[in-house]
Amino acid sequence: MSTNERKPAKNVSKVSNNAAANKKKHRNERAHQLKIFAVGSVLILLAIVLLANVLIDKVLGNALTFDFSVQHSNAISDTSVKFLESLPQDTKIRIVGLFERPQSFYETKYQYIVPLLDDYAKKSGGKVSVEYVDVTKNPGIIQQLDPTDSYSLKSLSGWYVVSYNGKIDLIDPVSCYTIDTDILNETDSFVATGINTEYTFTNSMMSLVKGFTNKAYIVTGLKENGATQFKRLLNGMGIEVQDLAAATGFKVPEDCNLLVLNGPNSDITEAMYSEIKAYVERGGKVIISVDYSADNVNEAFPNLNRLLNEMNINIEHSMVSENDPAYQLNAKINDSQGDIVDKYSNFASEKKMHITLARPLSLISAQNANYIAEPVIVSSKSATKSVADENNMAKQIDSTPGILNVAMHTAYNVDNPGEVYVFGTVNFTSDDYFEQFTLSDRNADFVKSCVRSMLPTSAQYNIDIPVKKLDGNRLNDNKATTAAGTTVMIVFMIVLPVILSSMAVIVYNKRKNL
Amino acid sequence: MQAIFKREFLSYFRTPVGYVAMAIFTFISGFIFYTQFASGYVSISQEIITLRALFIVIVPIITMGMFAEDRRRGTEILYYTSPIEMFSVVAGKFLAAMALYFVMFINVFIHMIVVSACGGAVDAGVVGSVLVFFFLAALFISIGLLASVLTDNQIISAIVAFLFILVVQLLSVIGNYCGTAVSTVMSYMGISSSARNAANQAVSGFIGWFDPFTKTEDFSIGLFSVSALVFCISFAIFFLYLSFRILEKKRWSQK
Repeated sequence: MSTNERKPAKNVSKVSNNAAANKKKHRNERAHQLKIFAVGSVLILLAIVLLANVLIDKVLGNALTFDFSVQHSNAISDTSVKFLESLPQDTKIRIVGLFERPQSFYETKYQYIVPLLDDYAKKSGGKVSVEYVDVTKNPGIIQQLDPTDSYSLKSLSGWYVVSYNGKIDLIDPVSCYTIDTDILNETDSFVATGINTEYTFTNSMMSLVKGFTNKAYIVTGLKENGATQFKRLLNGMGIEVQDLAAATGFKVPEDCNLLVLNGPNSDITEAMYSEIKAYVERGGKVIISVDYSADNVNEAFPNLNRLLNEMNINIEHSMVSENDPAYQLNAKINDSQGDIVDKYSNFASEKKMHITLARPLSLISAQNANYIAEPVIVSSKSATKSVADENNMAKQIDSTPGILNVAMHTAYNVDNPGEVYVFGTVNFTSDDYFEQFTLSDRNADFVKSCVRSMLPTSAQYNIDIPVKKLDGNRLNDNKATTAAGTTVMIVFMIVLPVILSSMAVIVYNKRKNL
Repeated sequence: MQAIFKREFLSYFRTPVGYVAMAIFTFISGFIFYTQFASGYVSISQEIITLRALFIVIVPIITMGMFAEDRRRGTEILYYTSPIEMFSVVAGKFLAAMALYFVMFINVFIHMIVVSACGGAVDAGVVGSVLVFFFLAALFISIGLLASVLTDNQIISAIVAFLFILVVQLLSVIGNYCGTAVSTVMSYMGISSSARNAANQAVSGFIGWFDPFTKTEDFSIGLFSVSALVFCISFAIFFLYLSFRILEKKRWSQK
């Protein structure tokens, strides 16, 4: 082939190379554009997804949350909505959880509290705010809520504080539930039966907004145990509480609406005897609780008894031994249940109260006609009296079984009667009891009624919101029998999985050679 | 898409994969149900909440072969050369996995019937839990599907899906750790405790915000939150689209 002949071929090859290069370049450009489109579209979609989620979650989150639970457990009722609407527009109630807002609260004590509080904030029109502040990380919150540190908020991590105009009320999450007392007594474990959250928070707000109308004084300095829980119980009822030292020159203040002697382990003084007597005679209200514990087995309370004897009641220097197994708790003679007498049966939803280490109370034989005393809580017919022997063991001193009084009421027989509730056990006032059984316990329920009966004005601040029963997950005992349980186990845990596993083996064997 | 769906769904029953997944799900759900039944209290919501933990096992099993198996057999080329929309392929496979989840979930529906017959409660919380279960399933299946698209090997695909779902399940914990780490670093820098706490909360809150389990928890107590459902479905769509784009890239790739 000549050179001339070869030349066009070279040109053709050059053209073809150029075309290939162009094509490649074009392809590269196209690939590049496709890549930009692919990456760009993914990034744009991601941005849209994030933006839409943030918008819906942060802006519309609450508005797009609906409570479909059977009893509307996560939404406040019309009663609370009306209460919130009745408050002035500039009302600012602050609810502070003394912990970080739980990201996950399912199956915790906050399950029926956190969503409900969100609903308060949502429906209050800005009058109620809800926040969560961990006191250990932000101790400054204590200074804001309780500048005088009178409530020891630092030790109450996990609680809620309701604050209004410098006044605060404390709420233990456990007190937002009603508890199955039968299971508690039998197994010592807490099983919630109902939700009291709305009642607790609405009434707390009501008390704070309306202000305290009554003032209670709790006597200190008689070697008594703490009354922090009882103070919270009274605060929750709209009653301001202050300590009153049992010092020389003891005087009941003029503004005292209720005087409390919470489990003294030593006797009252002569001055206290005269002061309290005069206080009751001028219409004062008193709650006295004593017990028969290791701290006071040698104390007969002569001055206290002298005072109460004038009101027809005597505190005996012994202990109630409950011999009826049906009344005993954990098969103990000194930890039992007592019956509420008929006249006071509406004081609590349950008919039996929890009594521990109780001193018997009796009517004195030489009655003072100015006072009418009567039993309030009594033991079974089989109770006897015991004292502690030298080894601190119960020693029966009276083998005749009979009904013993565990709580009594006495009233001054005039138009404005002074009234006294005397409890032979400290289970109605002591920290030891309420820290174990909470302020939603039956005894708390009862003592609240006692207070309400003496200070009726506090009742007007009680908004009645029914307890919302927790959805019954309990199966019908007649249908969910042991035999049914065995069938369930055989069918769901053995038969079905074995059939499916066999199918897997069969399919595998059939197809392994394909 | 219908053809892909049908082929994929039936393929679960032509291989041991579907049966193994169903056997595991049946046994564990049966165990949870029996434990509750024996105590006399049955909460179907609680059962479903517990079953959500199984995503980490079940999802990798049912998604590992979605694309990796096609690649191993060489049938993947059919998707690229056939005149079909790649998104239909992705959507068909996704819906097939969802359908398998539904078949597995029949167990729980039977449990509900048993509970109802025994006087137990099947309420709004249960409906919410079921709803959320499928929305979460959609999210995790889309993650598993993406893992299958990313790799040629079924085992690697399963491991990637497993790790991805594990991280999502632990987001709240990871958030807390990250928050603490940031706070610790800031303390070395001498930054005030209030700023450290704010940073701690911001970091843990930001990471925790992506946790779908926390977002959907309220459904089991009858609290229906549209935002949680939007979260699950929107991210499921995002992962499906990402899978689609990766397949499209392979389709038009010159190599």
